[in-house]
Amino acid sequence: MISADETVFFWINGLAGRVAVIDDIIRTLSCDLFVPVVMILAMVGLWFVGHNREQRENNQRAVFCSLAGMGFANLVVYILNAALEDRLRPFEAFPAQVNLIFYPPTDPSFPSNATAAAFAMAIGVWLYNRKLGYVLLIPAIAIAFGRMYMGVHYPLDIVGGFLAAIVGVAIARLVLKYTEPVPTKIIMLMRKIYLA
Amino acid sequence: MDGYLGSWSFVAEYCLYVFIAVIGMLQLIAARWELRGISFFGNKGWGYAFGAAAIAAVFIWFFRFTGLDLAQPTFDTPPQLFWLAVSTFLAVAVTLAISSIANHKRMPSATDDDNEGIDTLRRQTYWRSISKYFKGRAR
Repeated sequence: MISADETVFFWINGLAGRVAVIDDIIRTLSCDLFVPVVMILAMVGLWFVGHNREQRENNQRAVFCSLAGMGFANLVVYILNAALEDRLRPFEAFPAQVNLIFYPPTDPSFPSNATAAAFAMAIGVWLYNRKLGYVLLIPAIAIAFGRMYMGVHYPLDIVGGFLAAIVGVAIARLVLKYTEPVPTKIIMLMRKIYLA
Repeated sequence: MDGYLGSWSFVAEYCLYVFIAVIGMLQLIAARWELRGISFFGNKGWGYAFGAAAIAAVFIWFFRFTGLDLAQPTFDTPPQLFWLAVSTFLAVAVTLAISSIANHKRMPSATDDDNEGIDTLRRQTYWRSISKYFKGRAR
């Protein structure tokens, strides 16, 4: 399993460093400063739009689920980091062979926190709004691929991040369900002041 | 706030980037969903043009012209989320303020008192809506 993981990693990371423009584009699209802003723009958009009140309320619940899902996914990653033995990053394990075209992160390799956060936001939206959910999977996949391309994560770290996202969103759904009517009251309050 | 990306100038550039992008997004939404009360313009076409141009320009500016080096460490997650949230809320507040001023004469006060949430902003400004709400509560 580990060997296959490293083989796939080296195949993807081997693509880096050949065309500077492609490296630049992938580095930008999968950095911490791009995807979160794209996601927040999607959240703002989702909050304000809808053909009618019911649809808009559904979108607003998607925003709650997405943001809470991201928070819980980060918590899952934190717990896994604390419970498991630290996995070295590819550029630490194979310093001479890896094309590192990104800054060297210092946290453990498994699971990928950035992937977990991006997928959690996309899946959180997907549960309520399929069309936008699929659109948001694109930046999430970009960040997942980019992290391997840039030499900072193995494929298994990405899979781990994806699974953490699913667990995070599942927890968020349960929390939102069992804290009702709090989410509904927040939406009602925001509606009273013309913001929902 | 030591170091390249922890510097206040970087925080300011990041906040400006998020702030302008969110304002652009809100103008696109206002144009597409006819929320005239939060639009800066009387014309939908200007709203689309401004929103798209603001988002594209601010992304290009931030990633190409601020001297950002992605080979250097970026924010830690907590401060990044903090500044992201602050800039987003500020952008929403500024949009509501500017659109209320810009539409003050364009959108006369609606006569009905129905509170339909955001839908109310299709026919009156945020300032008029919220003033009416607080006057109603004071009565």
